[in-house]
Amino acid sequence: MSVAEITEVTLEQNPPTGLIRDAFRRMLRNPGAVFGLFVIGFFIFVAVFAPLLAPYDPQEQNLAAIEQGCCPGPSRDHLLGVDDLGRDELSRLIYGARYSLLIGIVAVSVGLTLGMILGSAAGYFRRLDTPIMRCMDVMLAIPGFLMAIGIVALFGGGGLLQVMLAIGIVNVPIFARLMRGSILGQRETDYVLAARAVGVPSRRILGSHIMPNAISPVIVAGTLALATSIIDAAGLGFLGLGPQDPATPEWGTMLTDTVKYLESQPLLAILPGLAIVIVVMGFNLVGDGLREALDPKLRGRV
Amino acid sequence: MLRFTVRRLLLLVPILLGLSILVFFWIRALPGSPAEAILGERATEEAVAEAREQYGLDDPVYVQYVRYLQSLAQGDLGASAYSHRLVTDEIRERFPATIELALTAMLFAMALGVPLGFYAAKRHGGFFDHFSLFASLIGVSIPIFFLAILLKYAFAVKLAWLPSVGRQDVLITAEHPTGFYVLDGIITGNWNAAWDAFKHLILPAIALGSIPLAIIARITRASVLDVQNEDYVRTARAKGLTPRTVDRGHVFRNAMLPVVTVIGLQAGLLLSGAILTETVFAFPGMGTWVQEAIKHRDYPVLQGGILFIAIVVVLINLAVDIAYGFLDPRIRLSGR
Amino acid sequence: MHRVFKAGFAAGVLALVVAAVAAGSADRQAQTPTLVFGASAEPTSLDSPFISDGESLRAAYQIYEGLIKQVPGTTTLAPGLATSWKASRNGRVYTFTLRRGVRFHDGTSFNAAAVCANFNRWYNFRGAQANPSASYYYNAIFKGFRTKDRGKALYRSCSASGQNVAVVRLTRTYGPFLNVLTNGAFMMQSPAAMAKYGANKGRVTSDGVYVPTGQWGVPGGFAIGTGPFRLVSWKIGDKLELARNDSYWGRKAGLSRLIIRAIADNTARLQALQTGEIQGYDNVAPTDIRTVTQNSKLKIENRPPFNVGYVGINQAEEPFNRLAVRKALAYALDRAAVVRSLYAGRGAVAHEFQPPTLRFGYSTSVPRYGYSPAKARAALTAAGLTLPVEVEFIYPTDVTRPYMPDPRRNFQAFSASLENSGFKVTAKSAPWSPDYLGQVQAGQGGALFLLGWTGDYGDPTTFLDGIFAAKQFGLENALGNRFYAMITKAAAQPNPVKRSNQYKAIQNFIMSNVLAVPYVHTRPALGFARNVQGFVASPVLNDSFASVRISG
Repeated sequence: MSVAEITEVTLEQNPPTGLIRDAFRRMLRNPGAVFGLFVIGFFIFVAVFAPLLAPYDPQEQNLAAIEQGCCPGPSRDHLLGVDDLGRDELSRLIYGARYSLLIGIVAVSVGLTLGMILGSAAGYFRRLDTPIMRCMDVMLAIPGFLMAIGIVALFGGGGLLQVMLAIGIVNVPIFARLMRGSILGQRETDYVLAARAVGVPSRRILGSHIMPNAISPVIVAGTLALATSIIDAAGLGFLGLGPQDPATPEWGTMLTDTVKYLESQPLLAILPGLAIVIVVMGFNLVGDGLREALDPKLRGRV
Repeated sequence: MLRFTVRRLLLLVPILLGLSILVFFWIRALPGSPAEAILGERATEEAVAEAREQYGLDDPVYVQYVRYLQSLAQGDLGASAYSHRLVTDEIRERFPATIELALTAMLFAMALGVPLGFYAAKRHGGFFDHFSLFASLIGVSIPIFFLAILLKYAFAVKLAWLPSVGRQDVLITAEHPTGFYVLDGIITGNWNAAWDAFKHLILPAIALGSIPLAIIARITRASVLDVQNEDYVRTARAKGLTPRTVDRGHVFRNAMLPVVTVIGLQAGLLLSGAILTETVFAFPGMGTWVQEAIKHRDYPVLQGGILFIAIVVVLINLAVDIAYGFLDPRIRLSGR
Repeated sequence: MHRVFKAGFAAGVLALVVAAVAAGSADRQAQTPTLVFGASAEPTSLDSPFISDGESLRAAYQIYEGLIKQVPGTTTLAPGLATSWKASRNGRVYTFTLRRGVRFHDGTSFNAAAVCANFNRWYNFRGAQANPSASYYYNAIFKGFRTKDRGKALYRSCSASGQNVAVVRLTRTYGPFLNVLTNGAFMMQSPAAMAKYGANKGRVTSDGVYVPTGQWGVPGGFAIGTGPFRLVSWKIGDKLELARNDSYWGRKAGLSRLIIRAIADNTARLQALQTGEIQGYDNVAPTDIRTVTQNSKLKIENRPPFNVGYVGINQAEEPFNRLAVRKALAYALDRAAVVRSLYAGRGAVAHEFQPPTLRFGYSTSVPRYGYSPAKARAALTAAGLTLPVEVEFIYPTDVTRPYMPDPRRNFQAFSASLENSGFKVTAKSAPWSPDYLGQVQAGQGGALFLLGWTGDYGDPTTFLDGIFAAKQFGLENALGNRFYAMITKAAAQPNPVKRSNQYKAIQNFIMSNVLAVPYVHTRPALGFARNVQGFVASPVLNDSFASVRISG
């Protein structure tokens, strides 16, 4: 590798808008990602237009409907049946899209933002490495789910906001560690060493050399985190720490509350479960597409 | 390498201290007083006041923390306010169960996940690749307790192929010298008990291993794809080495780097997942114990239990760090 | 590497194949009749006075016996280790004539000295042993110890009059005394064995929790009583195994082995019953009953109702200090619909704070309040309030109780009926213990709360004392003072007929002043394999497995 080449590399600028536009164009050529986009688009549509799509008020009970026991299955009036309080299952599923999307997005934004800041600082600035990573290690040492429970408890018991924040905070060390590991790996690569050798300032190296190359594993992990955040929220619901108001049609809570009817009315638990699985799969597909599209080494080859 | 290892070991001290502080103050920051928790649902006002005084809960916090550290130093992790049993006694009974389950789950996840991811990458874009991607998508997309419930319902309740609860048929009489039931059965020559214990492990291990499996498969695949395009791999190929040698010497070894990190991160995930999985299968490990403690707000147990679990995770992370050092010569040689 | 992969892959596949082939092992029912019972939790202790949870009581009740028992399936008193008893006229001296020829499992004799040894052991608890977190029932009933609250202590002394007569003296008249002795916390344990295995040895941890350090009543330790079963082994996370006591004084148990294993999750217990891994469990959820009854291999046993679920009212919260508003509330709660829709036929609408199963003190003339949104609205308007009236209503999460199998559903149904009747509900919830109970008991839960109670023995005090703590109902007022005076007076009444009438008056007082709104008495259900015969459920959880046999 000649000096001339290195100079060329250091001079190359990657305006972020161009990067994203390029990546998006490449992603559209990936059928899995397109399907994922479609799924997410559909769920966002459902979430936004829930009041127009839902045939009933998701909180309206009908105790008379369940007097013969839980729960009448699908009928002409209720396409997917009613739940254990006589509420229309379809309407609750539709409204549930709002909550599950919200949980995933808020939790991951919190975790990603904090984690990336801490992780890249630790990975690049040797002096910050130890203090930051020791704190992260202390956090990581407590299994995420336990810590989420702990944080929810600190915030004064269950609740939607508490759950979202708790899961977000739990995600921080995961992103931080990954970012740091990735940057550490990059730091020793030839092009970084070379850039450093020719006197490119730290911030520039981090911003224009390391970050773009280190970011793709973080995006993959972010995708997984969207999935696990929604799932962890369901798990917290399973332990009774979900939304305070049980009328809230959140998928995780709906699933948990109706698992006991698996024998008699399996749809009640399986449908919200499937909804979670599908939306999470959508995020994963899009994330995978993004990963391939963003990876400089795969560029132009997909 | 020795310096690296010693350094990592020394770093344990601040982490453990940090953990003790975190756990100690977390419990005191919670709404609802420990005295109420100790007394449980039948606490009266006078009883709470009496307990506060008797248990020194009215002392300044730092006095309580020092007292806590002193007892920790003596290996005393406290006792359950609910069952009045020592946390250490309870851990002795339950920890082997969770380790046995987590190891089985991890073995299951690695035995399937690594080859799945590797072959998917080797056949990038082919049928097997799509299949493995789809399978791992499902794996990471199902809430673990939901999968556990479905598995149990299908294979234990409906098909009755496997037991639905516990770790051993209660009608079997067996010796348990190590607490690892499968191993115990083999050591004592009680094959029936070993086989029975193994059957009890299968469903929980599959449920618990599903997420690590999917993650390992994904990361392995992503990592192999990355490494395959590295210059040194291309160089190796260009040199005319056989594909097998290249895979073994260059691709696999380097691709395992992120996989090892991920496997390390799974330790916490496995113990978290154990809370839900063990609950569904009434598997008497740390998970059910912690879950019960959460239910009873058994603070002393949570304090001791979380600290213990955290220490275990720290040690596993340490092992991963060291393994990472071994695998990546750049880190090893730089003496970090 | 490929070889490694292939080996790994093969191992994984093999594991799956093995899983698929592994059909349930056959030799389940051995020649010795054995019952495996699914408990909801590990017992906490097998040392009678330190027991307060249902699972420990269940196990202890097979190993130990008390002076007095109950006729199976009722709360009617029956001879236990005492064949007869007599109270002095002032109700302060009880003379028990003991059963002859009874031996503890360790071969030592049961006699009057043993009775007094047990009574004196309880009275002499000190330090953390005397804290309610350890000896809950003794604290609740006997109030004081030799070294703590001696002035309040109910117990005075015990003396042996020969081998077979024990005389217990109390400091004051206490009507429920004989009923109390049926409770699992007051069982007779072998004094020799307790000394041998260090029953009184214990220490206090830095959190202040009492931990027994002897080998008595702990996992891996000993528990020796006179009961129809003896303890074989108890291993945490595995099982608690009991075997027939072949030298039992009465009719020997029909089972040769009784194994109790903990399965915390309700659905998991049901499924274990379906798969045959257990042959019985308690508290089948109302929604699961149909699953059991429709299975030809399973059946339901009913427990006589001995509980009450209620909507609590905190009078310290405006405007519930006003009787008119409380009455409006009673009209606004659709209790009949809740019981009908949410209890799957297991509940009966409650009109007072005592189930009709307990005839002593049950009133047939309490004022009743049927669901009527119109009356509720009218009452609120007449009281000068503008509709809707805002009310904070709190319910517990992650808890199942026989009287509220799913609090969330009760809450939601009640909220809906309140909103139909001129109230506007603000929902609040908290995890059961200690958050929910702590808040409610401190009077900080909100104006309305969901609670209930299961009685421990056959006397109205088990409900009144257990339920009506002043703070949670905001009863620190003139009304409360009158109410508590009535309760105190009734407990000190030695004449049973007069006592019964006083309790009826108390029930009428509660309902005409609407101190709270009871809504359900439930009939808890136990699920059993169909071939389990002879089980008789006790209303107060004093279930004996001695009469159980396995048929076929």
